Amino acid sequence: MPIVVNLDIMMARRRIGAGELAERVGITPANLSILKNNKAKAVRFSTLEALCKALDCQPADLLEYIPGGTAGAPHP
Amino acid sequence: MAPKFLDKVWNEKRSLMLTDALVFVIAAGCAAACVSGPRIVRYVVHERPLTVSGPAVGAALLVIGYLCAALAFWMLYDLHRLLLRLKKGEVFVAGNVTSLRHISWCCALAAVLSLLTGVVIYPPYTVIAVAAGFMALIVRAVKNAFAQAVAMKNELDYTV
Repeated sequence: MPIVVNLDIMMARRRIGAGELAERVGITPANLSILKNNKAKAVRFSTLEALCKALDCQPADLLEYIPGGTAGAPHP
Repeated sequence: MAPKFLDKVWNEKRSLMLTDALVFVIAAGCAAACVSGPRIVRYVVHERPLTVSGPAVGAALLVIGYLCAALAFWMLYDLHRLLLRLKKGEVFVAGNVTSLRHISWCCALAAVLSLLTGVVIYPPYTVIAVAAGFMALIVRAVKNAFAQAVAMKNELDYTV
């Protein structure tokens, strides 16, 4: 999928751990891991909103479009 | 009153158990038919009106019968595995799609064999061919529905 989630970069910038972010956003650490490892197929607006709020950033800081990119693990 | 009573006595788990038990009964029936295959073929050759005659007809019927039995065992095995997964609560998984595809192919191949037998040797076999062909189509449609459901479930599982 050519959409890359730069969650780990923002987490490093904000110096926030996965457990704490998952708790603040209100999703499970497993789902956060899916998002972080670019395995997600879709992101709900509510999750994106909560992530932007927790990391004090814009959606564009988290999502990046790479034309022709194959980022992320192959779908199961 | 009756439906409530039935709800207590009958449930999804028991329905699956009954289906699985029937699979074993049918497998036993197939095994019995395999054992008495030569006897059945002798009866058909001597008592039924065949389109062709000759010493090779009996052998051909026997071979086709055993091929159909092999397909039936393969189909029953896949059906049993499908039921085992359903018992475990695994409904929309790739394994079930594979099982349904195998079952569909078994029915289709049995239809082809029966059609050949019906056209060349014994016309009533065409009825079996039509039934098996319809079954193959129905199972194929169910398989396609399952495949789409698996894809939708995967997408949902990976929606955060």
